[in-house]
Parts: sequence; structure tokens; C-alpha cells
Amino acid sequence: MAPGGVPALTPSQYALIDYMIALVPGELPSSFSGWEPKRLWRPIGDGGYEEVAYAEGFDSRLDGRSLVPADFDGDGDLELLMLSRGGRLQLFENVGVNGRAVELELHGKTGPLDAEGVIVRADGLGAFTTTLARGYATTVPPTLHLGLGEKSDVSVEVQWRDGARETFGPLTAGARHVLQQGEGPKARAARAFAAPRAEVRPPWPASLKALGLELAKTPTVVQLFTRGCKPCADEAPVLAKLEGVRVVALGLIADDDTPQAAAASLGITTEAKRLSAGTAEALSRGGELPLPLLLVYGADGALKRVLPGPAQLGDALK
Amino acid sequence: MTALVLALALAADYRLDDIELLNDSLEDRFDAICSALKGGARTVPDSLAAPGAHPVPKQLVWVTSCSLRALKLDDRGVTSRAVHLLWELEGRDANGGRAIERGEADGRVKKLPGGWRLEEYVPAWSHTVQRDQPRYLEVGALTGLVLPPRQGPPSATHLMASGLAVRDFDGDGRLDFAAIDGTLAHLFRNVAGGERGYHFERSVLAAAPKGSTATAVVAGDFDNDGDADLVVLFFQKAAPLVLKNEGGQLTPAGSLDRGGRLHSALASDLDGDGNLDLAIVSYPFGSGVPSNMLEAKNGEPVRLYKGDGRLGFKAWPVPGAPKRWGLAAQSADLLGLGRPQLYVANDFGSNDLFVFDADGGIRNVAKAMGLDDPGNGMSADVADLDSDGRLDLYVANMFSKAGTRVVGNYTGDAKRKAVLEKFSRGNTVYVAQPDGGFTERAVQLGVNRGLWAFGSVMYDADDDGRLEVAVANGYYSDPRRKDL
Repeated sequence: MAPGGVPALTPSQYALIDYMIALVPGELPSSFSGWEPKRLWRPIGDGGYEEVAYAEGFDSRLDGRSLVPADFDGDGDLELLMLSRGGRLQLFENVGVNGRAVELELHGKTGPLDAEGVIVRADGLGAFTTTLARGYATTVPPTLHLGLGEKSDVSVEVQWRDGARETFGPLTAGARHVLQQGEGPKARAARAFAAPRAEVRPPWPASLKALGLELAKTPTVVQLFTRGCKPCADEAPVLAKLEGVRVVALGLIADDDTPQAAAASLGITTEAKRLSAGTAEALSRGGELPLPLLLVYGADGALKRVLPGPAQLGDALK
Repeated sequence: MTALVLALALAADYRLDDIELLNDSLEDRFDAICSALKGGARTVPDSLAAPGAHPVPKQLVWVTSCSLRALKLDDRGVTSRAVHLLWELEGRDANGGRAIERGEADGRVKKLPGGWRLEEYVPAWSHTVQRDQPRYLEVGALTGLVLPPRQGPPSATHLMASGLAVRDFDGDGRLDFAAIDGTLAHLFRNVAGGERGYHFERSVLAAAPKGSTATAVVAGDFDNDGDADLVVLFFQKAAPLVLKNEGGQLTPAGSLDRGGRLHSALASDLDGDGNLDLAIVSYPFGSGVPSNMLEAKNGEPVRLYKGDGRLGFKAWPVPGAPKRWGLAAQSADLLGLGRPQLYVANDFGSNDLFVFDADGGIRNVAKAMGLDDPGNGMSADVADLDSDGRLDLYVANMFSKAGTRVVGNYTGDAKRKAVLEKFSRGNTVYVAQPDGGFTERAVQLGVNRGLWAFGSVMYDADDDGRLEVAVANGYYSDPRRKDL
């Protein structure tokens, strides 16, 4: 018993208080299972799965709630739309290399016009069911998306809501097919998917050459900067004292600005050049170039390390 | 933080509390190791770890994220303790590819005058995932997916509120969607143009009445006229609002009989009459705390409404429905009965699976079918994960490193420990078997560690004919990154 007759609380009972804070309106005192990386598991050969979310660009630390796969750009593959706590929307457009696919729109003789509860089976692909709900508080259209891999078409058996079974196909890959109960094996209509967009990736500075810099006989440290970047100014004196290392400053600056003038405004005294917008985009996270940033290249001109400041330069230059 | 809930269930065990207090100290040291690695180091200060006794990036030239946590921490030892570590590094390789390096290790921490130090580190396994080109490009802002900022801190209901309804509301062949942000229900209409060839135009569908929070939106053709209508749910007072779709315009067309602590809803023809019915689940924020963290019985029963096919809904009592802290529902013919069943994922306890018999009876068969999945159920999804022609069930729960650690040191009743382990193990997948039963295989398949999972879905991301599993997660992120 604590002084005053108040029962002493164990840490876990204090934890209860913390939890209750989460249940009542008001500001939380800190994160609460926050900043969690999203998860995406892909099947691998042994029947298990490997987690690939960050590597595949499903990269968010928002507090995700509703998540739905759907083809928003009409090109026949599935985007991921996520609504997070606080009303943040993210659309992860699928720009990857994909197999072939069909979409199925089903119309039964019985059951609701929204043909939910219909089951479709395809050899080698398994079963698919139309539903109006997915995951957390999310509703979807009663359509089906079947990835086909290398197959150019597929035949399916449809189990309608009244229990009748009917075969449709072959259904050509690359299109949305409308299947009407009683009209099998032919689809009533088909509409081809839109052509996927060709993606141009920004250039990654894997080498000095990729940055348009000459090879030096020593390691090279590339300092990135923008006008007004105080942390960039702070690291300038440290970089100026480096020995046996070439230092180049690359600035992301306005068209009517000059690298030398922008560098000088920060006290940067090393060689200064312009950073291409493409390279800046390649290094950006969440749409912003994370400064300060140092690129460390070996004497062979290959990128060895990316550092968020000079603290670990000694380690990187070993 | 599930550990907090679990710790409560462990009835104030001071020994476990001491272990967690030590872990708090260790996490500060582990975070310092991560800071060094993110700073570009390959070796960390000697005060933090013995040479090489820590994760070292192999392919990464730029470590952008680092996590190092104890999954197990021995309760014995004043100056030295055994520890089992889980670590994960994310970043870029020399060619700009995205890579994840992760693994587990057995180690030992030692108390030195300057603090605890990672003294031994023996890798149990490690694994690298690398992609030259990521599959996904985040284009939300580019395509106009911006909601107006909300003022002030989130209320408790805002912490959970989130709903999407994806449909082609205007019949132009493009998928639109409705979204809830707690205050408003928005419509995002998908139109041609913009940098990606498509973008979204936002309009407001409905506002939460004063004193209520907009919590969810559910779409379905409730009047059987060939387009999708909407029902918007509110928390606390206002009754659900029905919006009729006429030529792509969604306009108010009445409301349900009453409001409540409504959280999410599902549309499905549960009684087989050809009209969409509604199932509404409630999460009773503000009505007290769960009566039992492991099997709460003071929530609210699922609400059903029979749809009349003309936008009308009549209350449909569910005799004996448990009082749950419900979060999400799913319907599908999991049991092969020729008509969808209703699966409800509930926080603080068991889930429900309602069967709708042809004679009008409603039975909860979750436990009998082994699908009650006791835990912090957050959502559910149905698909044929193993492509064997049978529908499987994936349920979002919570995987907690802290919970795993706390329960690992629990020495009480074995049966209770098993329940607690289930609560901290994370997501589950019930794989349908030829005999009509289900086998839970999430750990075996490696799809359980979804963290504090919410929306979790199975889908074919790369159209190779096999399904991926994606998980949205995270409860509350404060600008101060330290967790409670």
C-alpha cells in the first residue's frame, strides 16, 4: 500500500492506465504500436512465404486501416489502396512485371443483382468467390480477378447462387469477361484491359560516372545540398578537413541559380556542381530529398555507402 | 503493446514487470545500435556491443530503417542474461535496388558500469530480399487522393474509424470509391487524365452529425436497379444513413432505425431472398473497459437487417448473439452450404461464424468449426490461399514482440499460457481441409507476424496464379517515435 492508503500499482497496472488512455478521447502521450512497416508476403517454392513489402514498394509507416486490392488504372493488375488513421489515403499503383489475368463479372438468374456468393473454380488456380467485403471495413465490387501466369486463356466452372454449375471458356487473358448464367460456355461480352504504362525509373547514382563526375585516384565523398540547408552548412567544415579524399558538392538548385553561389551561401568551399532532378528523385524518400546526405565512392568509382551526415565517414572510408 | 493487455491478464506478476523494465533499458541500447547502423556504420561503439555482436548490413549501402528487439529475455541473471533477438534492416543496395535484411539471433547481454552491452550474438537465421525495381509506386497525391486535414488530436473513435467502399458508382467503367475520415464521407470519382492517365475528383457525400463520428461506409445494390448504393455508419447517436444511386449521383434516401456504437458493416444476401441484407458490428468505445481482456462479454451483439430490395431495412434479431467488441465482418460460403456465412472478427476474445439455415434459423458455429480464433481479431478475408479448390480464412490479429517476450516468461497455468501465446502470435490462416474442417497454419507458412494488423487481404499481386497476403497495420503513431 502506498502512502495515503492508495494501493500501489505494478507496472502492468500502470500499463492498464496507458491502455485506457487509448480508449478515451484526448492526446496520447506517445506512439502506441506506431510506425509499423506494412507487410506483404509472397509465396515461395517450398510452400512458405517471404515478406517483401518494403522491397516491393508497399512502403508506408502510416497507421493502416482499410486495405483493398483493385484495378484502378484499368490495366488488368491490382493496385493497393490504403486508408489510414487520420484520413490519409495512399494508392500503390502496380507497375511491376506481371503474368496474364482475366477479370470476371458475373450475373446470376437468382440471388441479388450484386452477384456475391458465387464460386468460380479453375484448374490449377483453385477457387474464387465473389464477395462484397474485404478485410477491415471495406466493401468491393462482386467481380473476380484471376491471375493466370503464362496461360493465354482459362476455362472456369461457375457455381451460381442457386447451386447450378456451368462451364465458361476458354476466356482470353487480358480482358474483363461478362458471364451470364445460362449462356455458357460463351461469355456475353469481353472488354480488353488498358495497356500498362511504361515506367521510366530515375537514374540511381551507382557510380561517379552516373553522376557525371570524373574518376579520382582517391575515394570521393559527394555532399548533396540545397540553398538554406543548415545541416548541410554544418557538415561543410568537417568535409573541408578531410585528407586524401576528393569532396564534391552537388546542389539541387533553381535553374537561374549557380552551384558555386548556392554552395558559397552555405560555407561550402569544395568543388560544386548541379545535382540532376532525376538523381534527386532517385534518392528521395516520401517525395523529399533527405538532407543532409553524403554519397561515398571508392577509388574505383563505385558507390560504397550513403550516409545521413558525416558522423560515420571514418567507418565508411575504411 | 499487446504486452500491456497481456500483462494485465497475467495478474500483476512483479517478476514479469521486472523483466520488462530491464527490456526498456535494453531497447534504449538496441536503438543506439540501430542509430549507428542508420548513420552508415558497420561497427558500433564498443559500449553498445562487442565487436561483431550485432546485425551487420551485407548488401545495403544505405540503411533507412532498423529494428532490433528481444523476442525472449531470460528472467535469471543480475549481470548477464540470455536474449533472443529479432532484427530487420531496410534500405538500398549499391545499384539502387530495395533490400530487406532480417534475421533472428541468440545472444547474451551483460551489465557493465556504462549500461547493458550486447556481448554475444549467434545468428539463428538470416534472410535477404532484394528487388531491382519495386512492384508498387505510391501515387496517392499524384492522383488527387487527398483528404482535408482534421484539426486537433484524434478522439478514441478516430483511432479506429476507417472505411472504404470501392465500386464503379457512375458506370463509366472506372473504379471509384467512398472513404470515411471520421468527420465526413467522401466520394472519389475516377476520371481520365492527369500524370498517371487517371485521377480522382473528391466530393463530400455526408457529414457526421454533431456528437457522432462517421465510422464506415458500405456499398451494395440495395434497390436492385443495377448500380451501387451506400450506407454510411456513425458512432454514438446518428442512425446509419442510406444513399441512393441515381445516375451516379448519391443522394439521401432514409436511414436505419437507430444509431449506436457502430463500427463497420457488411452487405450480403444472408437469408437467400435475392436482396442484400446488412450486418453491423459495434465497438463500444466509451462504455467502459472490456470485462475480460481474453474473452470480453460486455460488448454488443452483431446487428442484422433484412433488406427489402427497395433500400428498406428491417431489424433481424440474432437470438443469443454474443456481446462482442466487434471490428469487421466478412461473408462467404466457407462451409460449402450453398449460402454465405457471416464471419465477425472481434477484439478481446473469440470470433463468430453465423450460419443462416433455410428455415430462418441462425447458428453460431465458430467454436464447433474451430474458427473462433481467440485473440484480438481485427479483420478477416476469404480466398483459396493454397489453390486447392477450397476457400480458406485469413484473420488479422496482433503479433507483438513484447507480448511474445512477456508470455515466454510466464510460468503459471499451462492452459492459460497457451491462450496468451495465441493472443500474441499474430495473424492466423485457417486452411480448408478435404474433410470439411480447417487447419490453422499461419506460423508454419510464415504469414503470422503482421504486427498490430488491421486490413489484411489475400490477392494475386503479380498474376502468377498464386495469392499474396498484404497487411495494413499500426495503432497510433506520434511524432515522438518512442513507443509507449
